[in-house]
Parts: sequence; structure tokens; C-alpha cells
Amino acid sequence: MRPRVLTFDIMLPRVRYASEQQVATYHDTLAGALQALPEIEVVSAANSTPLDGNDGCTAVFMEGRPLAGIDNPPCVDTPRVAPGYFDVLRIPVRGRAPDRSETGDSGAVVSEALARRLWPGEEAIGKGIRVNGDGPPYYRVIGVAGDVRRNGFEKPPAETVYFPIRSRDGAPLCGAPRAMRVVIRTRTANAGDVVPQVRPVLASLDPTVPMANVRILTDVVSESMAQSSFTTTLLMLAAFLAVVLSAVGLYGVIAYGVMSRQSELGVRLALGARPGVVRLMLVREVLLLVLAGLSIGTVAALSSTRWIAGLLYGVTPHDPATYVGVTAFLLGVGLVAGFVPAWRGSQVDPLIALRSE
Amino acid sequence: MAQVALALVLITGAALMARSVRHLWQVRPGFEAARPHI
Repeated sequence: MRPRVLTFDIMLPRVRYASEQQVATYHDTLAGALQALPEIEVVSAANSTPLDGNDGCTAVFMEGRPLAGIDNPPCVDTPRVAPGYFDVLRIPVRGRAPDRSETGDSGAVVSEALARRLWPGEEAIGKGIRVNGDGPPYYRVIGVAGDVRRNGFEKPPAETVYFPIRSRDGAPLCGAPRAMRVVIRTRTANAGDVVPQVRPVLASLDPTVPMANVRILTDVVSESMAQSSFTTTLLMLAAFLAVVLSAVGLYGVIAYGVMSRQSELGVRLALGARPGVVRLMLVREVLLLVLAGLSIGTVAALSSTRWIAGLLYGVTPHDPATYVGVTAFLLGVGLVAGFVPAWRGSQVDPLIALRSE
Repeated sequence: MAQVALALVLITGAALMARSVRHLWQVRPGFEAARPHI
């Protein structure tokens, strides 16, 4: 997959784009002009796109089901989207999505999760839904879109109603959406390559409307993971240093112990102790040190990992597999660090050792 | 001993975070967006 979706923000000035009709016309014209470029496949816009940090919600009303009879009134995402939005982001739609060729009042598209909650066991398409007060007229549901994780990968898919830019008479939405994010699916290998072609088109339509916050959708996705990735990198760095320090420390402690016990080891060897037995004795001492450290560390880790519990996803702070793996790894590191001085200790020449005494 | 204990705490934290990030990258967002490898 390639980064083919470009996004940027525009803010239409209130003086010239006071009505929803003017905003919708601007976006139709912009889409037409941009889609004439050979590098561009589809253009659309929305006032809220996935992973943009906008996690507010609006109460929605269903035709024939007064809210008084519902335990948990639905408060959902209600982005305003221009035609082509689902094509640009490749969000699957059952039924149909809004089309530029249609005249008259546009319908709404609901997400699968919302359709399941509002009309369990029923077909959502054809039902009526609206915001800003109950009662007719309602927006007809013309399609059911796949669920999208709008508010971050760690959060469940958002329940969403996709409304058109232009309200229908008698069922006003939340004013003219002048702040919109334009989304463009390109034919180029990298969506960023079309920016030099897009700028003049935008300027020719209205020079007072600049492109802002130009990004590739891939970058938006990466940014949503930035905090977790950064914390992981820092922890990995600290863990690497800690492993090196503990290995060097263990090596130093054992090497010092072997050196100070050289005469004792020499006597043992002179009295017939086999080097393997001496080595085993020293390794056993290393093992005791490491096991003591691991025991204390396990208790400390079990109580301290709750600090990062809020950052974890799909794994618990007390995940047994992680603890077993880390303990086995550190045991291995400790044994390797301790084995080298233990081996040297078992190779002591009894004569030299006794002479130094 | 203290160094081993500290190393275990830090490696456990790093391992848990790494597994979390791996799980997050496996989540299907519901829209198409090419995602770089970590």
C-alpha cells in the first residue's frame, strides 16, 4: 500500500461563504477543478476526519422512536462530508454514498456500529435520523458505512452519522461548515507530489483561502501512534542500558570475588578439586545473586507497571508471557556475565596461587 | 543484585510497551491508510 491520500485544511471566510449552499458550491467547484488534474483520482472534504482528535458527540433522534423511551440516548460523531468522501478514504459502504450528480436533499450514512445499536435486527437503510430536535423532516439513511476508528487505534470504532454539507429544509445541522479538511486520493506514488499542482487551483478559486496543515494520511496515522512509540523507544533505551550495566556489574563483582579468592581456589585445585567443580561453585554463586535480583525485580515490576497501564493496549500490565520471557533473558545474561570470571577462576594455576600467598 | 532488579523492571516495561504498539499496528482502522513499518 502506498501513501496516496493527501489532506489539508481550509477555512472559508464568513463574508463570502455565509450559507451552506455557498460552502457546498465551493467544494463542488474545487473537486471538479482538482479532479481535472491527471494525478488526482477523487476529491472530497469533511469537517472531521479519522484520527483528527475531534471526539465530541451530538445527540441524534430517530424517526418513530422518541428518546424518552431509550435508556442510553445515542450521542455520536456527526461529521459533515462532501460527496466522494468514502471513495477517497476507501471506507466500504453498503447501500449508497452521497453522489455529486444527485439533486435535492441528500441522505445520511450511518456507521455499522450505530446501525446495530439503533435498529438491532432491522435494515437501517431507509430509516429516518436527525439532530437538533426531534420530529420530521428526517434525513433518510441511504447507506451503512464500515466502522472507523476515528478517535485513535486504542479506542473502539466510533458510532457515526455522516451528514451532508447542505442541511435539508426543516432539519438544520450545525451551521455552514466553513472549516473543512479536504481529502484527495491521488494516482501518484506519494500524495505529497501533487501539492504544487493543488496550490494554484486553490488560489484560482479564491486567493483568500490558503492551504493549511498539509499532510499525508499516513503521517496522520503515524502521529496518532507517536506517544506510544516514543514511550516504547525511551523504555527500550533505558532497558538496554540497564542490561549492559547489570551484565558489566555482575562480571565485575564475580571477577573481583575470584581475584580475591585466588589462593582459596588454588588450594582447592591443589587438593584435587576438578576445574569443573570449581567453575560450578562459582556459577552457583552468580546464580544466587541473579535469582535474588530477579525476585526483587519481579516484585518491583509487578507494582510499577501499573504506571504504564494506561498506555497499554491488548496486553495486561501483569502479562505472564512477558514476565517469563524477560526473566529467562536476564537469567541468561547473568549466567553469561558470570561464566567468564568463573571459568578464569577454575583455570588458576595452584602453584602461582599458593606462591602469591 | 540491584542492577539486575532495575534491569528487569525496565525491560518488562519496554517489552509490555513494545507488545502494545505491535497490537496497535495490527488494528484495522476501517479506512485505507498505508502504514509504515515500525
